[in-house]
Amino acid sequence: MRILFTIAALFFLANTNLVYSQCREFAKNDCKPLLENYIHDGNYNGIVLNVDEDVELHKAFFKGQKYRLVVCKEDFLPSIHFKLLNSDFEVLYDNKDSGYNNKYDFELEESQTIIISMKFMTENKVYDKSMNGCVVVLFGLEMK
Amino acid sequence: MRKISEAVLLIFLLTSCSWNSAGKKDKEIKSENLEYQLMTENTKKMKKIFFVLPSPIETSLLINNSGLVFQEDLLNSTEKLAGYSTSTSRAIALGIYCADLSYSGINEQFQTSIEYLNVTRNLAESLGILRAVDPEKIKLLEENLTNKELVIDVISEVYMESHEQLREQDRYLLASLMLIGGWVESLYLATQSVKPNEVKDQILIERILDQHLSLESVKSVLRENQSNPVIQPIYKDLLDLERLFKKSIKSKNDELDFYEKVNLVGFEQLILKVYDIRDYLVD
Repeated sequence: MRILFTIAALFFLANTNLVYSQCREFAKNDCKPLLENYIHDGNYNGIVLNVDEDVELHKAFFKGQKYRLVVCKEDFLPSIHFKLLNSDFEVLYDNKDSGYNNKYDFELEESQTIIISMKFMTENKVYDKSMNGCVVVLFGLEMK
Repeated sequence: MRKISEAVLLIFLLTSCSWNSAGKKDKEIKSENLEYQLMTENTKKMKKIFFVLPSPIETSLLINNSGLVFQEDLLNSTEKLAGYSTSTSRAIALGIYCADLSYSGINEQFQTSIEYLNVTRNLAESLGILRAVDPEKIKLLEENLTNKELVIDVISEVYMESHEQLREQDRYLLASLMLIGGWVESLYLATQSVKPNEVKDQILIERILDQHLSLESVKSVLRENQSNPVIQPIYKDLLDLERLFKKSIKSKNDELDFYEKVNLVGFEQLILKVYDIRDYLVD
């Protein structure tokens, strides 16, 4: 039984690494091009997410720098609803107002930490709750 | 036959559950009741929170946008490479050299960038990071050495691949050390580029002080390993740095004059503290 358990555990680990590595390749091949003429800051924020999970990213953004935020997901997953909130939880941007667009360009009047809150759009459809897939958030910087 | 059935069932349970962070997964595997875990996981609404550090590319761009001149003597010498013999010192050095590489690339110091790119690739390889950059991209870069966009694209790939591969290999401590090395070096390059009493440097000084916003992310990266003997002194230094950031920022009101917002005595102490932390990390 111990040998079989080891085989099962190794299979699981190999599978996990494969999924993470596929997610990274997805980020490079499918998401990075959406940054267009913005340069990628080098941070990779990719996660394999279940349809019923919410995610928050906290990041400081600096005055004087124009940013592009790109949120992308694998094709078979539902659309993503994301919001940008300040530290007082006031909504600065909601992609619902722009047809659930997957990118947003912005520049802040003052440096501050922004919360990027994301969840899948599942309101009108029933999804298998175990369904999951790769979701990636990339930040682009405008080079002057 | 029964053993085989048990193994098949086990594989099914392990692979059909949702993919989450590795730490959480470890706990789940250890759980005695996988079925219960799966049931609760599928019904409970979860929120995952991540803290993102500014990358060395972002900080280098902030320095560059302030119009400051590139200073090669600030870079960590490539001759020190051979001295980094442990995996922890290599991970810190990888972050540091990535920051130096970003600083050189953004400032269009292409020859220096290539030198530092080779150093970071060597270090990455020594840490078991495979193909930190796509070989096709390196070939393209060798043919277009002065293409700034391409140079920066390669830098972002090195940084992303190195950090992510370390995480995927469950080497979280090394991944964290790499991030901290990069953040401290970027802060060092910025603080050493300004003269506190120069009016023309005031914008960059304000941007440097804005880095206090990233301290929460920096601490969250290290918090889990606080008791680790490598992390302990760094974490303590970061708390001192946090105190000096607070001392340097008199007000965040943008309508006030620079001197009403910034305590230059505190800022000079902060420059010295960053210098000390960086000195500790590179040696």
